[in-house]
Order: sequence, then C-alpha cells, then structure tokens
Amino acid sequence: MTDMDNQLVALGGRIKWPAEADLSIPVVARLQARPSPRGEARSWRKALAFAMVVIVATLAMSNSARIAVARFLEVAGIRIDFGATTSPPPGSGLQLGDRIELAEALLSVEFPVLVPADDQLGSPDAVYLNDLPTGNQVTLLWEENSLLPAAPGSGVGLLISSFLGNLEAGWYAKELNESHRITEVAVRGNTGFWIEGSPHVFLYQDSEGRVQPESIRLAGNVLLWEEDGVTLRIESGLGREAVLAIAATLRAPQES
Amino acid sequence: MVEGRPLDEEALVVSAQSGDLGAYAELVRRHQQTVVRVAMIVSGSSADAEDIAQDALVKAYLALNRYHADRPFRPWLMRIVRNEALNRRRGTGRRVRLELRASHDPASLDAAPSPEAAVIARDEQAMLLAAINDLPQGQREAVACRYLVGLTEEETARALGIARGTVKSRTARGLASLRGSLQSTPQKVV
Repeated sequence: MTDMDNQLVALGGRIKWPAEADLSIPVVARLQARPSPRGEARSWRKALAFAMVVIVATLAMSNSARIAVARFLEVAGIRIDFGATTSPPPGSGLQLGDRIELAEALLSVEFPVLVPADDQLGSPDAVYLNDLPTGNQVTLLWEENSLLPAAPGSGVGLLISSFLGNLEAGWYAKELNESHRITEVAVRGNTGFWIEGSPHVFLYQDSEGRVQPESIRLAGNVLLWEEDGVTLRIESGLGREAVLAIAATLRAPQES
Repeated sequence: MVEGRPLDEEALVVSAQSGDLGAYAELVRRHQQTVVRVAMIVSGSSADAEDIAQDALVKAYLALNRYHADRPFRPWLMRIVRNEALNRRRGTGRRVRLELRASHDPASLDAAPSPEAAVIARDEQAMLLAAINDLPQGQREAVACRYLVGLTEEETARALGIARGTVKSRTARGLASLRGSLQSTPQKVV
C-alpha cells in the first residue's frame, strides 16, 4: 500500500519542471530601474547595490580573496560595515520550530535525544523543537565554521534531527535499484541511507502507521536511518565518511 | 573589512528590508526554484511560470516592509506567488488545467539495471502521472506541493490558500484515489 507513496517521492525528481533560470538578475534589475524618490539617492543606492552583490558573492571566497575585494571597494569610496547588526538565531528561516535549550528539549520529547560526542563539533549552536503532524521533532544545529562547510544555500553546517517514526524502508530499497544517488550504509548497527543530490522530501511512517512526507531543509547530503523506533537524519555539506564518523559518536547526553 | 558570517535567512531579510538588493538577490537564488514550481502548479501553466515567478519576487521585495522578519520567509513568499499566479490567470480569462509531465532524462534511464527495468520504470511513472493529472484539482495541487515539490504543510497551505487541516485531508484523499486507480490499472507485462 505504501509503495505508491514511495513512487510519488521518486517521481518528484523526474517531473518536467520549467527550465532553471537565475531570476536574481532580472529581479534586481527591475528593482533598480524603479524611480527613486530623490534623484541623487538613486546613484548612491545603485553603487551600494552593486557593492552588496559583489560582497554576497565573495562570501564563498577564501579570506584573502575577500580582503582583496573589500580593499577594492574601499578604494572605490564604498565602505561597508558589517559589525553593527545583531545576529538572528542561527537556522532561522529553516522552519525548525521553536528555539529552546538542549536540557528543555530532552524533557519535552518521549524518545531519547542523542548528541554527538565529537570534540571538534562541540555543543550545538542552537536547538529547536518542532511540531510534526504526529509528534515532536528535535533538531540540533551547528553553524558553518572552518571545519563545517555550509550546506549549499545556507549558513548552516550541520543539522541532526530526530523524531518518533519508522522509515519507509520499501521506498529506499526500490530507489537503490533505480538511482545512483542513494547508497545503503550501516549506521550504528542499523540500515541507513546516504542520499546525495539534494533530495527535497523523504517518507516516514508515524506511530499510527500513516505515511507522512517530511521536507529536507538543506540542499546538501542526507544520512537517514532508524534506531529503536526513532528516525534520525543528518543534513550537511560534508562527505559520507565524515557524516558516518559523526553518527558513530552519538549518545545520550552526559549528566553535567 | 568583510568577515565571513553565516548568511541566515533572517539576516538576509533584515538587510533586504533596509534596501540591500544584494541580500535580496541571495534570497531570490535560494527560493527561485520553489517559486517557479509553485507558480506552475497554481497557474497550471509551465510557460507562464517564470514570468509569474519574476513578478512575484519583485512584488515580494516591495512588500517587505509589511513582513516580520522573525517569521519564516518561505510561507510568506508562497502567498505572494499564489496571488500573482491567480492574477495572471484572471487576466487571460483562460482556465488552464495543470498537466504534469515527466522529463525524459537519458541519464536517469542509464542508471536502471536493465533495459526492461527502464521500460517498466517509465511505464509506472507514466501511469502515476496520468493518475495525478486525473485527480480533482484540490487534491492534485496538494499532492504536487507536498510530494513533488517538497513543501511543508504550512507552505502548501499558503500556496493553495487553504487551512493546514485541509492540506492534510486533501493529501490523504488524493493518495487514496491514486492507490485506487493504480490498483485497478492492468500492469503491462514486458
């Protein structure tokens, strides 16, 4: 019965959608072309807008490249101060739920929340509690840093989510034969799946046996597995071995 | 000096709200694929989807001062995409019915273990797509948003202009219909 649900998710990747186009260029061009209230403000805003586009692009560059770009802009008479703004919670916009402390998260859910014991990772930068159709989900988030590349399209390095649910193993077994993007891997003595190529959604079965879709937040790679009735997933921009190494260190948090 | 910082969405939105077009360009790049696909689902037209998406993204920027940056951005954006798609449809006076098609990408077929398996896979996809296209509009749109685009319930609710509970029930009924039509379709034997 659930085979059809599985096919739907597979089908999502094969629909003939409209061709990919970078809309940021025409959209920004249209916004810049709008008449501004004061004529002299327009050229200032255009210069600023150009500088912003360059700066956004340089955030993907190495430090030395960024410094070079910043100096170029200073010479052009444009100095941008990024220091003053207060930073919003990391992971905002990913719809992970309410931000809470880890200790509170552990008390709020009926399943054990595992945390990685990796010294280099350290404690998560943020913890979120979310309301799924069938129960709570806890997400641990690490921002990008020198050891954690940002998953494409976000400033997030790593997400570890867990919730009560059984994986739809039938779909993954089928996809193994039809796609080179999914590999079956052993994770902590369980069958897991390493999924590349930015999947958008996966299926799980809730405690009442209903199949539910759950959306993937980051556009990177996903390690997905079920352990004692809890579905865990790790989303990141890391490679498979690095993610498996992190998964191997997961354990119940130590009493401090 | 420019330091590398996590570009969290809220920071981008706050910057865009104060006139930072570079920040808005990054927001556009993050969401454009979803915006185009939802524009296609709501308008029923693949040809118009990119224009609708562009208009929606321009209007979203102009509407930013009415948006609270601490709320999730994509659900808010979905409502604007919906309004733009409906405006476009009203303008032409045509009722266009969403017709989903499969992309015949040779690369994905090469990954099949055998030519027979590839044919079976294509046939199954074709049957499933035909069944989706036969669903009543509300169920077809809900299933497409949740399963084919991968929107959350909240985003689907905004994109389709319905309550979350309605998203749940239309999705459930849509899936039940699809199962029913596939079970009664004779399987092709290769």
